[in-house]
Formats: sequence, structure tokens, C-alpha cells
Amino acid sequence: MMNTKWFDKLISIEKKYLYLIMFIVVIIPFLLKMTYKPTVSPEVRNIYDEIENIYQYNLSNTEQPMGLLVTFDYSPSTNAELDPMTMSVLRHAFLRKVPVVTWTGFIDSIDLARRVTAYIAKEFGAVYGEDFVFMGYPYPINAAVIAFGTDIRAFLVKDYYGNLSTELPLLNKINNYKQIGLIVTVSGTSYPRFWVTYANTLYGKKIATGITAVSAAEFYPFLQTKQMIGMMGGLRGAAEYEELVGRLEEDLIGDDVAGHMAGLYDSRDISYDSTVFEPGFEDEELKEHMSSRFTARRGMSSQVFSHFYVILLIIVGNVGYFFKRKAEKKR
Amino acid sequence: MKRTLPLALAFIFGIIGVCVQMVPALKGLLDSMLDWMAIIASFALAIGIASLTRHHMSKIRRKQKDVFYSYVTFVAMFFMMIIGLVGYFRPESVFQQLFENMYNYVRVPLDATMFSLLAFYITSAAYRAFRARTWLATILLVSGVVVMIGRVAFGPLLFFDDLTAWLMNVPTTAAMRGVLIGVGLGIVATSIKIVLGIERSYLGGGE
Repeated sequence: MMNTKWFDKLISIEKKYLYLIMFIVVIIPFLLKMTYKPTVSPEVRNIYDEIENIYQYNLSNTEQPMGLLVTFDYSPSTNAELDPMTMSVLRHAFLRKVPVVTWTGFIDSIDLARRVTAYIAKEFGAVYGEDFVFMGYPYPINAAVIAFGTDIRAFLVKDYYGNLSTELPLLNKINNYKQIGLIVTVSGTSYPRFWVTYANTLYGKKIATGITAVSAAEFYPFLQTKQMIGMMGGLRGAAEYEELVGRLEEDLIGDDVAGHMAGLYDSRDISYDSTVFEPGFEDEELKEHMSSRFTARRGMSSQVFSHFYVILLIIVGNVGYFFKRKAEKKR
Repeated sequence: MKRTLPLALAFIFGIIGVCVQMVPALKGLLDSMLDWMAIIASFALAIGIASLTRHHMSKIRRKQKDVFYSYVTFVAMFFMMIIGLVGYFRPESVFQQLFENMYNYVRVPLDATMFSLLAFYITSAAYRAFRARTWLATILLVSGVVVMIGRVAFGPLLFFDDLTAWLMNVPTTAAMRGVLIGVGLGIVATSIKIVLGIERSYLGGGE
């Protein structure tokens, strides 16, 4: 019978055990609600600063404000990583009352984009048609991107909810790239490149992107050439933006954000169109909204442990491989 | 004629497409072209559904292996299509809610599950394949480890954060720029070939 050496054992751990440990490593920080406090990178800070610039511009241009175009260019497969980005950017915009236009570049993300837009708008009592609009899935998307260069109302005659674009007060002010201060394309694909090609190259628009960690490397050249002003890379990028918006929210609203949200609809007599969202919060719903403010930072704690676990596996595998090769050479 | 007409259309609209961006006087044509584009592209959806149906119908007719999945495709496609359409025209009905629930509690978790499996593949790959066999492999391995630590750095490990930023901003950007310039030149060359009728594979096979 062949004698199994220690290094042979080291390089032949069964897959099921590796997977089981990975599962535990991911799930424990998640269950313990551990959070990660990231340092903010310049790429993420630039996006935040640009939205702040739009806010400053709007303070002195109330009649003709600048808006933000947020495009959900991702499918549900990457929503765990990308939803926190869109949520944080939308929170920032609504906190600063920057008008927001959202749409999705993926047909299978219409519901996702609608839900996230309405979910965040509700937290700030934003009024549909005045503070934000959701344009659904403009098809074909490349034509819509170019159409925004002239007048988007001619291309998208109606919004997602069937309202005429010409009857939406927001779109009567913001219907052209000239009134868009920043385009934020959040994607798990090469879509942001497409925005650079059309919106930036043809119309000189500022583009920022939120991208999955695996795709981030592709977009660094655009940052260096300033074709993109900023990038949120992976869950880490989302956590950084979440941190910045969290601080801003604390400055503007104070510590009791939940209390502020709970009372948001008590003192207002605006008649809401409940097809977009139901005004008011149930207790459970309020808890969920508060918890969603930490999604990326909580997810990062799992990522911290899983990265170190993968590094440990690389070391174990290589130590085993090194000694096995040494033993084979001796023989 | 069957081939000449599409080639002529590709040439004419290819040239117009360039001109509307280059000649300011022709900007007015852009909106009309975009409307046409939306109308033509809508047919692609219908062709997609027809093509998928035909493919799976032929699998069912021939009783090929895994024919069960063809039935699943049909049931899922037509079920979502019907409840989606009825829900759209009758938003107060149960169908709208059913459609949303199917999307939020079936489609989204299924998609997210597929993507999250990546964590397990990476675990296995890191352990079995990420070996320092050569110098180049060692450089790749060390860079990978640095970036992995850098992306989750905290406290005393923050040094790796700066190192990661350098790796991403300098060597990675340089390499990606080379790739992107190559891709860009390829797109330009292919576009010119399509407009001039040299590249004809988009017309499909046969005369």
C-alpha cells in the first residue's frame, strides 16, 4: 500500500469540504451583522462630489435645474453587488433634491429598476413626475442614448406608467443632455463603454459607472482619460458610496433617520399616486429600509473573510505543490 | 436582388449614419432615423420569440434528449407572457401581483444564485489551479493576492489598498488600453467592411 505523504493530503482536500467552509465563512459575518468601514477611494469620491456640484448648481438655478440620469444596466444576476450602488446614488440625489431620470438597459430588469427607484423615492417623499421619473426599458437602448441628445420625449413618448412624457413636469425641464449633469450607468457588462462612445464622445456628457468587481479592470483606462469621472468597483465601491451617503444623511437628517421616515407622510397633504408607491411605512418595512442602508458594508464583512479564506487556500495548495515537486525531484 | 437590396440599404444608411453626426445641417434627420430604428428593432423581439419556439418545437417533435427542458421553457415563457400582458391591461387584477411575485421571488433569486456560485468555483480554482509553476504564474499569483487583500484592506493592511490602486491604475490600465485599442480598430474595420459590402456574413448563408 502506498504511503500518502502530508503534502499529498494538503493538495487533495475534497471539494465538498472547501465549499462547506466557504459557505460558513460567508454566512457567519452575515448572521452576526458585522459591518466593514471602508476608506473612500478617489474614484468613488469623484462621483459623490459631482452630484454635490449638481446640487450647488441647482441652488442658484431653480428654474432650469440639472438632473441625474441613473441607468440600471444590469440583470438580476448581479443585483446583490449592484443594487447597493443604485440605492446609494439615488439616496444621495433625493437627499439633495436633484431631479432623477431612471431607466434600464435590460428588458429583464424593468421590474427591478422600477422597484428600486420607487423604494428609494418613498424614503424621501419624492413626487413622481416632479422629482423623479422612470422611463422603463427604452428599446433599442442605443437609439435612446442618442435620442437624449435632442429631445428624449420624441423617442420615449410615454413613461413606464403610461403617462405622456410631455405631461411630466420633470421631463419638460430635463429632456436633453444639456440638462443632465451626470449619467450614472450601473452594470455588470460592457454597457458603460457604450455610454462613453455615445453620450461622452458625441455629447461631452460626464459619465460615472458602478460595475461588478470582475469587470472593473476594463474601465480603468476610461478613468485615466477622464472619459469617466468616477467608478464604484464591486461591493467595495458600493460600500464606499454607502458610507459617504450615510454621513450626509446623518448631517442633514440627524441620528434618527427611521423616526424621520416614519413621520414623513404625516404632515404632508400631497395626494400620492399609489401606482408608484404606497405612502407611509409599516414597522417591518421601516426596519427593512434602515437595514438596506448597510447592505454593501455588511456584505463586505463576508467578503473580507472569504478573500482571506481564498488566500489561505492558495497558500495551502502552493505549499503542498512545492513540497510534492521537491520530493519528486529527489526521487 | 435578395442580396443587392440589403447591401444597398446598408451602404446608404451607413453613410447617412456617419453624415448626421458629422454635418450639423443633417441633425434633423437623426430623430427620424432613431424612430425607424425603434420600429425595425421591435421586429427582432418577434423574431427572437419565433426562433426560440421553433427550436424547442423541433426538439419536442424529434423527442431529443432533455426534451423536458423544452417544456419548461415553453411553460415559463408563455406563463410569464400571459400573466404579464393581462396584468398590464388590468393592473387591479391578481395577475399584476402574480407577475411581480414570480419576478421578485423566482426570477431574481434564481439569477442571483447562478452568479453566487462563482464564489464556490473561485474557491476550487484558487486551491487547485492557482499554482506558482513558472515565474510568470508567480507574478500573477502575487498580484492576485495583493489585489484580494487590497480590496478588503483594513487597519494595518491598508498598505495593500495603495498597492492595489497602483496595480489597477498602472499595469492593468496599460494592458486594458492595448486591448481596447485593438477592439476599437476591429470595430471600425468591420463597420467599414459592412458599409462597403465586403463583410456580408450578416446576410446569412446561401444565395
